[in-house]
Amino acid sequence: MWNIERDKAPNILPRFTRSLPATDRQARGDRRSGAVSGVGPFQLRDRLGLLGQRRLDPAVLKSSAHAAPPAISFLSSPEWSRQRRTWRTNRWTECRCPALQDIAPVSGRIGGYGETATAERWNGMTRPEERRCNPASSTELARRWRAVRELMPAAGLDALVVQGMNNFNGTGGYFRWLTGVSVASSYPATVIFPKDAPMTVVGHGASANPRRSIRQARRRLALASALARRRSRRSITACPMKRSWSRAK
Amino acid sequence: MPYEAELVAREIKKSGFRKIGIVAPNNMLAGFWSNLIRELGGLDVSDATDLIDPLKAVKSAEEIAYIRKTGAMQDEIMQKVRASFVPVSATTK
Repeated sequence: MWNIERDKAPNILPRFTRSLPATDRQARGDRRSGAVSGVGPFQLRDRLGLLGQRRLDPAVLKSSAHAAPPAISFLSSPEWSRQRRTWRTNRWTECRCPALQDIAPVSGRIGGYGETATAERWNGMTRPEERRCNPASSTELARRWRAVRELMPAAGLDALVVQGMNNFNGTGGYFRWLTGVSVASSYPATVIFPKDAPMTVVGHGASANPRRSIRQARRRLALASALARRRSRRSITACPMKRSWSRAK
Repeated sequence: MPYEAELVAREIKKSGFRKIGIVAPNNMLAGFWSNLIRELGGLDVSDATDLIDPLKAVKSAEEIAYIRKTGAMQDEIMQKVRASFVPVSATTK
């Protein structure tokens, strides 16, 4: 038998590594960077050297597009945030295995929150939806929404109710298929999908608030301004611990 | 204390929806389902799973590309893992 304790096999037992490079974590004095957590396929793939190969190349790291921004201005500098966003985008571009790059085109920027995704909001951690490889593009999501809405009038439905939890287990992936976001925890998230209006999402807590990650059909509604986008993204957060609920403005 | 079902029902009623399709009700939490049906009393609630399934089953070009990419990723991972296995005889000596 292969004994983990005895043989250790360090190369295939990945520790949870956050997306920030080690030097960046050390510069911030982050004590949690060495914490051991779950081992998912992404971490396993990363540990096996299948991801970020160009990112790990010192020559590539020296270039400004791939180097992690300095941590000294972590909390306040807009320039740092800009650099970090650039680095993130490029990092994700490189996260795809070079051997697989000819199979599917890169779908572009991840998530729907764009400029609002700052490291400060998540205390330096990468958002769960950002750790996903190859999310469905906005074009693909719009295709799904359009297909569903074409059938809803014939079925006489005003709205659909779809629930997701535990990632894909038990839900058939319907929530993920409609929203592009999978619900990782056992706390469910529910989406109300009207036939002629943007979705409404009901989720748990601030950290699980899917308002920032779920892309809406703003193109279908031709709402272009930032204010209109905010209004088109409706989300309700259930806060049972606080015995209150609030609607995201 | 409003939970999901109450919030969902409140939003549905506020929006004026009359006919609601529930997708995959068999996979919902029992408490959510029972409370939702109770809160939506008077509205027409039906199972809309069959509406979504055919749409999900027909894959777009992007989805097919992702499926192939996932398969290739799994193959590559398994090859790497297999290469790292060490025979028992080599580890017990």
